[in-house]
Parts: sequence; structure tokens; C-alpha cells
Amino acid sequence: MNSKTAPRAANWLLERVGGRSRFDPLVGDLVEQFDQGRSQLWYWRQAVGTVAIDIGQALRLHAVSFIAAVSAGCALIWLVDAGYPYAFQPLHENLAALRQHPWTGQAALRVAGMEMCDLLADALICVAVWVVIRIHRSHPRAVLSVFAAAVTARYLPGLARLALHAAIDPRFTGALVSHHLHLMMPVAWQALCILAAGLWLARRPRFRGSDRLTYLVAILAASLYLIGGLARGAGLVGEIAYPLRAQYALDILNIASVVCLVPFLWHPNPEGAVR
Amino acid sequence: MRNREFVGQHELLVMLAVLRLGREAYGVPIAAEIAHKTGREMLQGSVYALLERLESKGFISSKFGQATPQRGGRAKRYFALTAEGIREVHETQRALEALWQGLARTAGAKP
Repeated sequence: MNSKTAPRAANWLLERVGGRSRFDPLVGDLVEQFDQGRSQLWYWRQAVGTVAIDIGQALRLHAVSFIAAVSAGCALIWLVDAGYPYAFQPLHENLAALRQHPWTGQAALRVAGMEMCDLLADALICVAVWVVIRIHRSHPRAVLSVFAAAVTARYLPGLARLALHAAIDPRFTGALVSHHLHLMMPVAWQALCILAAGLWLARRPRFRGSDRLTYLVAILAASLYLIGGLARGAGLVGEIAYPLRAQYALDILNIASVVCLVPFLWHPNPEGAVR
Repeated sequence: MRNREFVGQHELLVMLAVLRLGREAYGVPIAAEIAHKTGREMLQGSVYALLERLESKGFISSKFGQATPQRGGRAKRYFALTAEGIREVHETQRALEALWQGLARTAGAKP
């Protein structure tokens, strides 16, 4: 008999990857052998090996649709990113003239337009996510994680270059850190938006089965998103004095709220069979 | 000749272990039987992956037992060969024996 208890984190990993109902007998087998004297290291080796085998098997069986889904999603995101400045350029022109008369109908319309174009850009990200999980339906969480990582990876060379500059020339560290933040916020937001939207779209059923805390965190994230967008627009046209630090603080709060939301959505619904 | 899918080496090992264990064939004894008879330690997850694959091919069926406290409240999953699975094992045995015949006299092969 083993006096220690089987590692819960390893069981959690197995149940998250394979689904509770599918891996339940396997976890039972591991617990039984652990109880007969197997070590923690043995247990972890079994858990990690099983996860690797399961992912490898899924990739082998569904590699074509998996790669097609991630590629299609990346192409759509690239189109959105490339088309956005062309489509909404007029909204960001002549802002200096507006700042002299911030509380006018024209300025208010401009703020509303900026909010709308933010919503549209994020709605287009949701469309890309929907396409990804429609192409590869069998493993939505795995394909979403890889898609979010692929979208984020294209920014990494630029971020690494900036970090290198800051390391080489300490005089510019402050400015570069600010530039980093300026770049990293949208990158982090995009990745989290992909995960949150995708996990929600993959849920069956979407609303039933969610607990009250999930709803609260979702409402908080949505509210911060709307407030952040409005404040950014109002700051740009000069309706409110909006220092850069306040913008960062609001963005960090918004990102933090979505970071909190993702784990709630990651859990499958009690009656859902999402893997 | 009938066009059919052959079972792999590991799949055959698992099928034979299930056959040998009879009614007591679940994850732990299956892996132990393979390790005992062949000296190969297989990951429990690997055994389950093979069993699931064989089940999807129709060679194996499974049913859940009772949940026990010794297993953290988790049920055992018992496996058994289907009639098609038993036929497949015999056909593989015949095919291997046919291929082995006369091979002991060739150069390099142990008698």
C-alpha cells in the first residue's frame, strides 16, 4: 500500500485532455497501481506519456483538417489585420482639428464610429475562430490553442527585436518598454479573444450548464471591453483627458478579466461532450 | 484473397493478453500480462490507445464494472474479444506460421 495520495495534477491533466468519461478507467488503473506501491515519478511518466500518445494519435488521424483549420484561421486574421487600416483610415484622420472642439456631434459620431470599428474587428476575429472550429470539430480546444499560438507567434520576432534594443541601449529602455506594452496589448488581446470566443462557440449547449460565476466574469469582461473602447475613442478626439497610463491600466484590466474567463470556458459543460 | 486490414504487432499482443485473461481483462492485468510474457513494459495509456483502436475495428468489446474505493471511486473497464477478433487472431497465427515454415533452414536464422 502507498501512504501517499496519487498526484491530483496528473489526474486533472488526463481528464482535461482525454475527457473525464473516456479516461476514467485509465485513471482508476493508475490509482490502483500507485496504491500498490508505484512512485510519483512513475505516475507522472504514465500521465505525460498518455497525453503525448493521445495528442499524437489525434494529430495523426486529423492532421489534414487540423492544419487546414489553423491555416484558414491565420489567413483570415491576416486579411482582417491588413484590411482594417484601409477600411477605417478616415476615422483616424484630422483628429487634431476635432480635439479643439471635442464636445460636438461630429466628435461624438467619431467616437461611436471608433467603437463600432473595434467591435467589427473583434467580430471578424470571432468569424475566423468559427471557421477554425468548423473545419476541425473533433478537438476544438487543441486547435484553438494552436491557432492562438500561431497568431501570436508572428509578433514574436518584432517583440524580440525591441527587447534586444532595450537590452543593448539602456537609455531607451523606458520608451521601448512603453512601445512593448503598446504592441503586446493587442497581441495578448487577440490571442485571448480567439480562445474565449472559440471555447464559447465550441460549448454544447452554450448557455445551459454555465454557472453564475462564469456569467459574472463574462459580463465583467464585456463591460470592461466596451468601456475601454469608448474611453480610447473619447481620449483620441479629446473629449476626456486620457493619459497613456490610464489606457494601459484599463487594457490590463480588460485582458485580466478575459484571462479569468478562459479557464471557466475551458471546462466542458457537465452534459457536454466537448473535447 | 479477401482485402482486409492486418493487426499490428502491438495490437496482436494486446488481443492475446485479453484472450489469456478471459473475464479478468482490464487495463492493469493486460499491461502486466504483456510485461510478464514478453518483458516489454507498455504505458497504460498506450494499452488503452490500442484497445480503443481494436474496439473501433470491431475486434474487441468493452463493458464497465463497479466503481471501487481502491481505484479512487473509478470503475474498471473490462475487455473481451469479439467473434471477429478471435477469428482475426487465428488468421494472424496461421499467416505467421505459414511464413515461419522452412525459415529455420535459411542462412542466419536460428533453428
